[in-house]
Amino acid sequence: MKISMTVWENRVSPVFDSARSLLIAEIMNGCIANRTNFEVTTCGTLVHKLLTSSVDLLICGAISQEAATLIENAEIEIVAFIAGNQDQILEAYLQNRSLQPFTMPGCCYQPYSCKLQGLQTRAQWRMK
Amino acid sequence: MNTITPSTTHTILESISDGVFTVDHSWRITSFNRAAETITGIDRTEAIGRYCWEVFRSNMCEGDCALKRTMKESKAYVSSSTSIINSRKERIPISVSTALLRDDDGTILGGVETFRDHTLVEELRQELNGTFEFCNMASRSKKMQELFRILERVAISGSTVLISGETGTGKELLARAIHHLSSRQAEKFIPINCGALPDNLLESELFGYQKGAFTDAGKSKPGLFTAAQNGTILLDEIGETSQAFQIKLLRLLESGEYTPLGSTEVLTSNARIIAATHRNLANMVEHSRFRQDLFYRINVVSLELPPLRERLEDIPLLAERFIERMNRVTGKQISGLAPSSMERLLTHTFPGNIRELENIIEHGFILCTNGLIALDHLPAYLRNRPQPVVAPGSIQSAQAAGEKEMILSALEQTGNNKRAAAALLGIHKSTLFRKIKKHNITSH
Repeated sequence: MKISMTVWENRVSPVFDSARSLLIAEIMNGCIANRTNFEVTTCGTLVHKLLTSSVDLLICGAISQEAATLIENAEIEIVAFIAGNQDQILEAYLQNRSLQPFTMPGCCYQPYSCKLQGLQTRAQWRMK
Repeated sequence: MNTITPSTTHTILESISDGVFTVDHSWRITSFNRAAETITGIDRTEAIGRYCWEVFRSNMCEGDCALKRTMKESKAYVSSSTSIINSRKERIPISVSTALLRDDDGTILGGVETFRDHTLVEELRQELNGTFEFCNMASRSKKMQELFRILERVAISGSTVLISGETGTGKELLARAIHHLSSRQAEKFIPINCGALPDNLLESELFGYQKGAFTDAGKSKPGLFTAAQNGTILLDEIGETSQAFQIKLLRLLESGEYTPLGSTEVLTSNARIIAATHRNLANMVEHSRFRQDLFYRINVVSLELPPLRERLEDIPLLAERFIERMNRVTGKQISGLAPSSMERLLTHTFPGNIRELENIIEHGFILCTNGLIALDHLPAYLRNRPQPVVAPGSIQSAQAAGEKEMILSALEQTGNNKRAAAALLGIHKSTLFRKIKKHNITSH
C-alpha cells in the first residue's frame, strides 16, 4: 500500500491546498520500502499526482472541502488537520498508534477527528 | 493625563472584532484575543504555545508569510488578502496586517498579526445585489449560478476543461476565472484564437520554432506553451483547427511533450489547457471533422455557457454593469436605460450575445449625453426593427418570438436551405426541424 503526506521542510504542510511537496511512501510488511518526494507547483498538480499514484491514504494539515471532495471521490482516505514532524507521524502510523497527539489545535471538537481518537483508519486496518 | 494600563490594553484587545495574535522568535503563539478565537474557532488555551501556522492555517503560511516578512525586514505590512481554513474545511477570506512587537525598551519580542474576517461582507454584498457574482461575471440565471457553484472545484482540479458557447458568451472570461481560482493564479494566462491563424503560424506560435526553420526564422523563438509554463493556456475556437494540428495537440495532451518547428529537441510543458469553441464538437466528431481521441482528451470537464437569449433575466443586470463601467471610463452621468430601450433589448435575440449588448451600450453612450439611454440612442438595426408580437409581461413569449424571428431570418439568408440555416444558427438540423414545427413556420 502507499501512503502520502504533504510536507514542508521536515513537517506536515500546514495547508494542503498550498503545499508544494508531496511525500509518497510505499509500505511493505509494516515498514517503509521506498519513499519519494515530489515537488509540485500548483494545487491542481498536487491533486493530479495523488490521483495518479495509486495512493491509499493522505495525511495532511488543513484542507479545503473542494480539495477533500476530489481526493475522497478517488477513494483515497484522508487524515487531515495533522501537524508535526513527518518522521514521527509516519512512525506512529506504522506502529498503528493513534494520530490524536498530532492533531492541529481546535480540531478535536470536530466530528472529523473521531477517526483519530484511537480508531484505526481503513488503511491501517488493511496494512495488518 | 492618565496613561493606559496593561489591563486597559487587554480590555481593548478583547473588545475589538479583529483577530489579534502575537508570536515569539520561534513562531510560537504567545497571545490570542477573543476575536481570533471566534474567527478561527480555536480556543486560546489550545492556541497558545503552538506554532502559528498550525493555528492560523493560511494559504500564505508556507510561502509568502506576511509575519515572516515583517520579522525579516523589520517592516509592517497592512491588509494583505488571503484565506484560512477552519476545522470544518471552510475557506474564510481574511485580510492580514503584521507588525513587530517591541517592549518598552524597543527590544523586539516577536511579531503581532491582526486579521479581519471578510466572509460576511462578501455574503451581504451578494444579497444586496440579489445576484451571484463570480470573478467579474455576474448573473441571475439559474444555469449560470450552477456553473459558478462548481467552478472552484473545476479550477482546483487542474483538469483540462472544454468551454462551449456561442460567440460573445464570455468563454475567455470563464477561462480566466478558472485560472484565477486555481493555484496557477500567480502564473501566466495566455489566450490564443486558433481560428484566427493558419496552421503553420498557429503551430509556430504555440510550439515555437528553431532558427532557420523557415525563411524568416532568423532566430529561435520559444512558443506559448513555454511561456505558459506552470500557467494556463486558452485554445479558443479549437473546432477550427486542422486534423494535422489536432494530432500535435493530442501528443502534447497525452505526454506533455512537443517539438518546436525545425527542431529535433523534445520539450515538455505543464501548462493547463483550457479549450473553447462555439461549435458542437461532439457533432463534429460524428462527422469526422474533429478527432475523437482529442475530443475525449479535452472534454474532461465540460462547461457550457448559455446564450444571452436563454438568460434574458441577465440583460438588465449586465446593461447596468456596462453603464456603470462606461460612466467611469467616459466621466458621463448616464443613469440607465429608458423603459422603451429596455423593452427593445429584451425582445432582441442577441446573436452576438454579451459582446453585442456591450457594444449597444457603448453606442448609446456616444449618442446620449446624460439621463437615460432612449430608443433613439440605440443602433439603427434595433431602432428600426419591427417589434415582434409578445405576450405582455412574459419573458418566455419574448424569447419564443425572438427565436422564431431568428429562424425566419436564417432561412431567408440561406434560401430556405434547412441544413445551412441550422449551421448558421449553430444548432443541429433536427433541432431546427423541431423548432420550425413548434413555431408553425411554413416553408417559403
